[in-house]
Amino acid sequence: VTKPPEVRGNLAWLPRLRLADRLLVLDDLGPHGRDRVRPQVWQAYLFLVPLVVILGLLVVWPSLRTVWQALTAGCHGGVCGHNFAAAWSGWRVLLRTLAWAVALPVAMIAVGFGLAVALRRIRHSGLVTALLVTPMAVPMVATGLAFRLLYDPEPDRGAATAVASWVAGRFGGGTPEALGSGTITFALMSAFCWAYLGLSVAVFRRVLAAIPVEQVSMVLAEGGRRRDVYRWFYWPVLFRVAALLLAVTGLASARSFDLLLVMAPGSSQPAGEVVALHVWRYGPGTGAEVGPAAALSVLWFAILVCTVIAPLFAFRARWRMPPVDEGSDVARELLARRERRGGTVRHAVAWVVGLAAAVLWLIPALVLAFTSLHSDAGFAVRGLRSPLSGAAWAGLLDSGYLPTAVGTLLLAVGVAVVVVAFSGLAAYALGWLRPPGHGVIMVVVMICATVPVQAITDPLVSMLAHAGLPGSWPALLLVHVAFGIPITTVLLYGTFGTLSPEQLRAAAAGDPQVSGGPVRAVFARIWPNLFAAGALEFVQVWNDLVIGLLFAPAQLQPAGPALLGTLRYFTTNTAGVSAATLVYALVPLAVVLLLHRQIVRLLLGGLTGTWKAEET
Amino acid sequence: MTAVRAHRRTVLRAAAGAAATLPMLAGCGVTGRPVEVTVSWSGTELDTFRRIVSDFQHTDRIGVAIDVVPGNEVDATLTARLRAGNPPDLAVFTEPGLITKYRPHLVPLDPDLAADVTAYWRHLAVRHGRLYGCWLKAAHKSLLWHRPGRAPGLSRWADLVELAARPSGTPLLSVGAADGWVLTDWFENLLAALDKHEYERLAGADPHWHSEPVATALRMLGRLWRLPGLFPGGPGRALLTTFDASVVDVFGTDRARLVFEGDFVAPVIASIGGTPSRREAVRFPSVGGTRPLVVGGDVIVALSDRPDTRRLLRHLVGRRARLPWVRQGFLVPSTRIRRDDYPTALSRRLADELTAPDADPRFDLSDRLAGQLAGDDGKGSWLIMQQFFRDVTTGVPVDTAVRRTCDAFQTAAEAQT
Repeated sequence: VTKPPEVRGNLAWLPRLRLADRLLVLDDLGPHGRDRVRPQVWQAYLFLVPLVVILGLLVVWPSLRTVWQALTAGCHGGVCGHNFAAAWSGWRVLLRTLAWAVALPVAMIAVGFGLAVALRRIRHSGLVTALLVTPMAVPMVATGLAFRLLYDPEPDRGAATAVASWVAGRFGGGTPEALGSGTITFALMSAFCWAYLGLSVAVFRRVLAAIPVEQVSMVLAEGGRRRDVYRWFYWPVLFRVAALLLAVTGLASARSFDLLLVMAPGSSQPAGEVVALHVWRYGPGTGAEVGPAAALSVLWFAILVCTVIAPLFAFRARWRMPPVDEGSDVARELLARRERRGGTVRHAVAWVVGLAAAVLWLIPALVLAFTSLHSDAGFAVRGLRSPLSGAAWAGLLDSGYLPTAVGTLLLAVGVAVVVVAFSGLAAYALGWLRPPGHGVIMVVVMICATVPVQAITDPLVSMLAHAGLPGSWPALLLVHVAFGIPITTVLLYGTFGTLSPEQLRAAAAGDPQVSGGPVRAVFARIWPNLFAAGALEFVQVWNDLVIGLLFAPAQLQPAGPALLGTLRYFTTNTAGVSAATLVYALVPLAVVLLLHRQIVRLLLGGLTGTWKAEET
Repeated sequence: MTAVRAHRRTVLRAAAGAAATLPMLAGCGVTGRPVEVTVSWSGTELDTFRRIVSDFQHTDRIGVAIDVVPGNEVDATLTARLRAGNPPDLAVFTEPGLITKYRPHLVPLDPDLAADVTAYWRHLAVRHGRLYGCWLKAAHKSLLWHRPGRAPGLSRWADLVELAARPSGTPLLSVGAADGWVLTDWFENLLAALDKHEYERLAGADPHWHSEPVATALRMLGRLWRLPGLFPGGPGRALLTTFDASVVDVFGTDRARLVFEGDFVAPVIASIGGTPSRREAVRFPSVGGTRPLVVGGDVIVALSDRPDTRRLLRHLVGRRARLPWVRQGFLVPSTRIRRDDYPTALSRRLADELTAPDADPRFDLSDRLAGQLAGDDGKGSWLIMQQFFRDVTTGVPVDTAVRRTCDAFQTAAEAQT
């Protein structure tokens, strides 16, 4: 009898569910048998009911309806393409969207890889990596505000403009008014890079740490060239990771919408417009013609699906993140000597790059914090040189911002709990019980994870109206739940996929009466992941802008849209807005920093565990 | 009783939705759900409205929920909520053009609700012979602001152009061109002075944007804006300057001498520490002997016919509810307000101009345009005027830019039908 694995924490409070005990029967047949003999199929389908109902009604049906409208509206009873022709007039917008969804992620992945390689050469690089990753947790609205401040055309107020005009004064040339229509896209992309570059750096560092040191050193010792090492060990792994990163960053690029609304002055918005904003201005529900608006949504959706789903499918090899490989002392020494061969120059370059990245990444946060320590009037007139003052923070207390924050907090917690409950059930069914059709359902769930809410607003709203929930907080909660379930299910699917049948069997064989059987064993393993998934969903809701703009009812203005509203008088309200923005950004940061271990584990499981079952 | 009231206010402020507040309201003698008002105000405007509404709740025992939507999104919000079958009871439009758009959903009002406003204002809220809205406050949008002695003698348009062309240390104008409505306001003032009939026609059912007065107004603007050294930091910076930043340019950092906009410039000056003695407002210069008077305003419309809605509406047009606006320095186009109700000499003067018997105001045109010309960031008339600004300041010949702009207006106007 195998010794039962240690059960962490006191799990006696768990009800004695019997569901998972049945797994043992299934597992005795092995993972392949599991796919053939399914005594608990109906149970698995039962667990899928919440997911299917919510996604079906609030995401799948509205999406299909939008496609249908795009194909048939104004077509005199048939199907025609004239709506797409009408939408196509915005080809510049489409090209810009492609740049955001493909070109920018590719560039960021390349730079991220370079940084990851450089950072390997310096000490304390973990700290730099952490610094680079942190902005991912910051709401895009806050990021946009920080960069709008940085790029303020008035040198007294905009730190970046001050530097640029100093340089221009020294060496000639004009000041690049970063937020102007010629450069707005680059300004927006710089903010996006600040938010998401760290992701690829961190992932590549993790991958590089997993390259088998022994084997590499053996190849090198036997006269192999660096090129061979790259071709055999690095390339296959890096390629797949890059594909994954491309998908994730491409999906995140839909957030360029938030940045545009916050960062771009009205006069520059057309020059930076992406399909997301175009749909917002001219899409369904804005009084525009139904057909072209729907066609525009479909085109946008197609771009997202191509950039997100295609890489995932093209590279869905049976690969998972290998463990960090320390290697033997001899091998490491050999490699280290090889690395040093470049000499002190490369080392110095690595140092400079690492330091520069750290400083650059700190600037937006520091600017925001420093700005909040002035008075509104002082900052408007004298900018960063005005005397320090605590007025902005004192004003925050009686500005009505705190009730907003508390309301958003309650909403985010509520959504996170519901999403984790429903997604957990679904992921358990899909990743462990694996009833017939689970593959198809997973594909649909993954596609749902890429649907942008702006694209399906119109049918979604009429769906909610049918349910008698229009413009109410349950509607807001439901929409958040519907858009949170897909991604959470995908992540937890990986978690359940990595559960080891052997360990569960051992847990049951130990002493079912005392240990509570495999249910507790399962929970002991996955509860940190459930918690991490909940935390991620919380951050998602807290950071949201567009769902709040569309669905928030009276009395519950979430923090993101509330901050956007203050931009009307940004110049004369900068210090107060900065203070509010800091508070807004610190909440998700704190959550992610507190739970970063669990979150990383969840993400790795989510990314790598999907194909695990077939390996056991 | 005080405790109960406080409790109710807390509930109204913090509760998640109307449904949740229902039992509490019923408990203290208030029946039915609260009256919901959608507004896009912020800052002082919102605070003032909250005070007025809270006074109503105390006296009339009717719950009111204020639904604040950010920025310029009242239109989009209302569309979404109507589609959802959940319109608010009342909504405040800054654009009477929206009355036309939403007329099928609006409730016609009792004509005596508009008894205290002049015929011009009443007419703006009438469609097909029925009254659909009540004016809460107004804005005077024909003013040039400067520090005392910094921009003397501006009575005619020619004076302004001459002053702009004369070289001087400090650039003359700061224009908040990042906000498209500032540019449309410039255009409207010129057009209102040139030809008021053509102005009104553009807001009507058969607009003709290729007319001579439109082209003349644009040409005059183009010839002014293209003058070198006119804007601090150049026209590129002007396009990134928001309205409040343009006020800071004149009254904060002294980077420009003159800023054009309405009476709502005064609170911005006050917010950066400017005192009334350090600002001067003069009327927009006359064009061909006519001084334009362009006005804006906030009109409240009803989307439900409940008795509570009607009571709140009646309260809002009464003197008691109008006074808080006046005391905050806003202008109210109502005969129930006396001259000495206004707090400053400037607001008294502007109110006089608005309510004078011979006053001939023109309501902000861009706020009356619907469909594809409805303005917003990167959209409609705002976008077209920003493109015009960009054209004339980057060397496109004025006549070419004018033709392009007229074409753009006409195309958009025809597309909306």
